[in-house]
Amino acid sequence: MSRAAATVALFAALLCGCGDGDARAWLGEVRGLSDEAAAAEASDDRGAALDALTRIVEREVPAAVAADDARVVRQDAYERLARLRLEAGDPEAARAAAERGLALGEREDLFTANLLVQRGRAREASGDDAGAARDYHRALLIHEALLDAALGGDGED
Amino acid sequence: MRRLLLVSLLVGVPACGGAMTAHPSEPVDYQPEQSPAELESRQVEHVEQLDAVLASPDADCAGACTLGEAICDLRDRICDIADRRPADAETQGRCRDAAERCDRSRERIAETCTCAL
Repeated sequence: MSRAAATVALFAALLCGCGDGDARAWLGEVRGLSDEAAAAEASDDRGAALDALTRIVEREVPAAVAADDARVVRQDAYERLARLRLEAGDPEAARAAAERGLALGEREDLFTANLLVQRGRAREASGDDAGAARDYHRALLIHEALLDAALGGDGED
Repeated sequence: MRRLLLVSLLVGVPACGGAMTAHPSEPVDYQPEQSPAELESRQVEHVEQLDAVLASPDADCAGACTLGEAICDLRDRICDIADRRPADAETQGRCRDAAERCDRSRERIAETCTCAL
């Protein structure tokens, strides 16, 4: 599944559970910005992609939006920001974006794991190999827990 | 929460193009030159795959295959770093642990799903 299709799936899933008008409006706005970022990336316009993603994370979240829904939307945006910053050759900005995303709350899910991977890549690019290995390993443990769930539980450690 | 878990499985794992579900979406293309013995052997193989799927009706093979791929990709990243830091015992230990988890994930997935990891 492509990144764009995955993001559409994310918003479609969230929209199903968003009954409040303000919440739906917010979700519609951030979904539009997310699509804008994806289109900008597809046409190699990194600046426009960064701008759209920044607007997602800066947009005020209505109180009616479930905290966890807001977290995953914003963490997805921070992960994409970190990746784009890294591709632009700015590991410090990439790391800062990943850390802002992680500061929204670390859970045993792929949003957290993806942010850990991006922070690891940023650390590796700035020469902090040991820190990168720590982040990659934490991400691996989350993936393993998700694998247990995908296989119906009963994992061993 | 199940909704979020599903979304979590869908979003963000890079390079998931190689993942396969346990349910083939296309009919198998048998070649006319295959011998009856070859066809029988392939049929047995498919029956075994079907048995595995039916034995674990709750398994999400698409998600499992993608996650297995990500686990082993992270093993590669960690062990590449360990190769550059032979004197760093902590990173060496992470590499060993990651390698074990990658192997174990592959084994567990292979028990239920048919993706090639």
